[in-house]
Amino acid sequence: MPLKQSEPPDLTDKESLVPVRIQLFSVLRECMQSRFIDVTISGQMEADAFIDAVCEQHPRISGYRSLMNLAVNQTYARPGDLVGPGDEVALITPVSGG
Amino acid sequence: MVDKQSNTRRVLLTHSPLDVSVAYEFLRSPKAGAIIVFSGTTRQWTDDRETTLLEYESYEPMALKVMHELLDTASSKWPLIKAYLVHRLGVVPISEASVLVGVSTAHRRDAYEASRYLIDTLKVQIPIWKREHWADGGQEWITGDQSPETSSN
Repeated sequence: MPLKQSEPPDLTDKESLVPVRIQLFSVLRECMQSRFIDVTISGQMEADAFIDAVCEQHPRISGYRSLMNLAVNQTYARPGDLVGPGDEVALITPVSGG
Repeated sequence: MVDKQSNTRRVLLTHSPLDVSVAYEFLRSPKAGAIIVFSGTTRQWTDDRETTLLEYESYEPMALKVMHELLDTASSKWPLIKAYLVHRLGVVPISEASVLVGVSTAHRRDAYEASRYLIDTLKVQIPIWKREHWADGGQEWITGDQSPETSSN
């Protein structure tokens, strides 16, 4: 379920920046007082670098950096997995269900 | 094998109270020699600190996907006849159940092992978070001790 409705118009322009919407839950949602934040990236990135970019662009949640993992298309991402425009992305802190 | 779309598997997220007898009835089968239903409930006291209620929030589509994956894995490890996995969301008052994990199997050892696997893995893998509300007025989102495994897919 891609959250973006269309691809960026100019894929040949490596400098073009595109927003990726990120879902937030629990402590992160409360910290940002929003269910979503956007991060602007220039294309596909590794998950770890993507989280760093989120923290740079949203310093308010950077204090939770060590707790953050990424879910990409509803699957937990490894640090080197790729994430980019068109992916369904969520920031996941260690879960506490049950 | 407990299939995804059949009367042998029930996976659900709900804001309504959970009923152990509903789970038990679902799991009954002439082939079963053992039925286990585990319920995780809201505990009032943690050492000397009093809890008034728990509140659960979920990344729902992924939580359902993870629940099905857990049952796929359990089905490949143990000969399950039926399986039941339901988590409550929103407010769960003291002594009420937040989660029911049930299996039926031919023999008890498989039922114990499979249900233990399901609740232990669910608590690390399922994208659900609890907020603890304390009697002293405080409240906090609980962060698990362990990050989810990334190798399941």
